[in-house]
Amino acid sequence: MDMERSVACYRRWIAGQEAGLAELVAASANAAAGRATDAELRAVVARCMLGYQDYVAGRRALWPGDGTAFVAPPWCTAFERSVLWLGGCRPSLTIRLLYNLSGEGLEVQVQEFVNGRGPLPRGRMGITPGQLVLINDLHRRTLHQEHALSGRLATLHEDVADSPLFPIVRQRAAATAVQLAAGGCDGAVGPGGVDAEVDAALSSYRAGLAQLVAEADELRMETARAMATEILTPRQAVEMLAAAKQLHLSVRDWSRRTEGAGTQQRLNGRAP
Amino acid sequence: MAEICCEVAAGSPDRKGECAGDAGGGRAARRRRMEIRRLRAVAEDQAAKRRRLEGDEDDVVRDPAPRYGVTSVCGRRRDMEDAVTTRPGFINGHHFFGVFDGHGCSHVATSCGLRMHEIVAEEAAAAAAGSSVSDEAARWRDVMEKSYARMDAEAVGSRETADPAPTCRCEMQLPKCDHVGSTAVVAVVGPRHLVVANCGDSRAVLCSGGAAIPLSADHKPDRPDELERIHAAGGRVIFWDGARVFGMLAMSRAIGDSYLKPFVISDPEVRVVERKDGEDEFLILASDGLWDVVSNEVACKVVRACLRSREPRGGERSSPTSSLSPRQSSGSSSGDEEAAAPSDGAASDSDGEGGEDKACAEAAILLTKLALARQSADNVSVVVVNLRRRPRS
Repeated sequence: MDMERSVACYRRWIAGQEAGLAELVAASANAAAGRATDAELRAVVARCMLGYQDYVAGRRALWPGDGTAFVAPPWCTAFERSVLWLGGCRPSLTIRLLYNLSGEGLEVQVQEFVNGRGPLPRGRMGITPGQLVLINDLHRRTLHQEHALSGRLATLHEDVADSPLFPIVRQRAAATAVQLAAGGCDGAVGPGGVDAEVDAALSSYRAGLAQLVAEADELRMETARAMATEILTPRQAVEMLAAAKQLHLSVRDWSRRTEGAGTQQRLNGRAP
Repeated sequence: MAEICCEVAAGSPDRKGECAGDAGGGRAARRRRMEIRRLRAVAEDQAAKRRRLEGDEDDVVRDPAPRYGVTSVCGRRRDMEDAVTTRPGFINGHHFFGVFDGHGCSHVATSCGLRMHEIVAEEAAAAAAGSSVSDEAARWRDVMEKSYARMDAEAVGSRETADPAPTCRCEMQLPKCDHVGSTAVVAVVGPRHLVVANCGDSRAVLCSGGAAIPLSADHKPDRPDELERIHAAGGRVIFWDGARVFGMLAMSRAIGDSYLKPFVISDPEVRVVERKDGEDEFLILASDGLWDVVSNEVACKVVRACLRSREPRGGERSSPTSSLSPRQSSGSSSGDEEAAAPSDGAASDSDGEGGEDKACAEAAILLTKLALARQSADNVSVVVVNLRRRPRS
């Protein structure tokens, strides 16, 4: 049940990404033709940011206190799952993306500039020196926080071999051994059933991961928000967000094509 | 903010008023002004003494600092290990610029960024006071060699002393700390000479008479003379993702890296060249994040175009239109002032005083953007120093 609702939630998110991309591309074209005001572009950016927020809030509501559902979701392709970091893209991906966008068209402009033609090169997107400084600062802040979260994830992983889980494992194994020795068991050697104690131990891990995923979501959104609304102009922000959606949807589409597994098609509700 | 502003003020005393005001209170401002004046008086006194000793030009003091611009960005790397230092007037009439590209961790580069100019100033003062050598070039060579040796000793010994709390990723705790080092390319712009000292694979390039002239030669393990030196010391160079000393370090000289001594040494190669007014255009110092993807010649062309596009004679100036305050960047941990941004109050446009300059900053940033556009995978740090002297006011 929860799985079905999760898949539905994911499907809505992908549909939203596709619709959002169309809107951003149209807005970008309007801006290029001088038909869009900054206010209109800002509204498009705001809607896009809201889309991210809705998805994150929606999936969190489906699995409250459990982060395990998002870190390697079965409704993504193996390729997508391998790219995921705590349930989404790495926050620093936004900066890498921008470095590449800001370099587009620069080479040709520099060529003309050194030959005495054309103004100071800024690249097609027109990133100014001041913006580059701010992007570098955002980059370093984001990397720092990303690093801290990665460290906490490592600790959480290692906690699996520690209390509260591991002592229970040992205790159950010892109990089983005693039972076997007493001949009270028909050879069925297993860890025993899930009782309240086991459930609590698993839940504490799930909750720890949910907390990390929530903070990672926050960092992803904060990085994108700072970039789109504080550093970039509305027009640049529209371009950046469109490129981010293009990247996401292309990777998804191509990995689905190359993996082409029946389970994927079933999970994603597309006819084989 | 005030701190940075005052640093600038100390470098170019005429701008101290606004900065001191920024620090709050007219009285404090006055006191600071007095202090600066006192410092200047002392400095001038010492300079006069040194001039007598050195037989230097008689109006060193009035030669304004050159205009310069800096950028230093993390780029495609996940760790910032570059540090940059700019200290106009670090000793009277002389101006210090340095780029330090760390490896293993950032703390050796950071120490270089914080300390190298101080050490060079001390060594220069000692040399001036007790000098028996009359040849200025020989004396600077000596100053730089001593300074690099001291810097190396500090970097290697800093695990014991470690006075400022280390904030680097290794936190100087791991035994691996021996595996940390930094390049160091330093330029001292004097009234009559350019002194460039280098250790590692950062580089200084002079543009003079339209030509790009490298003033340092990268210390790569497969450079024939370096290879010979390493072999003579009993070391080996192994090709493992490029030439590396014992298959590890991809440069043959560095500050730090005590585990690879004596094969990797910290001795700098020093060039002292006479300044040629009318020919010398500018100097570029940069880490390999730039030089890996941009040639000396292209870098010089780009900088020349930037400086030319801002020359006052006629034409429109393409001024940056960013409404953002680029100064928010200053809380850096890369060692020193970094990413000096144009369109900032502290950056002089082209007025009489030296210091941070829009055209130079634009040039440094354009080179950085070009390096990123060309897929540079490293931190990128660039310093551009305009060597054209300004008319005195």
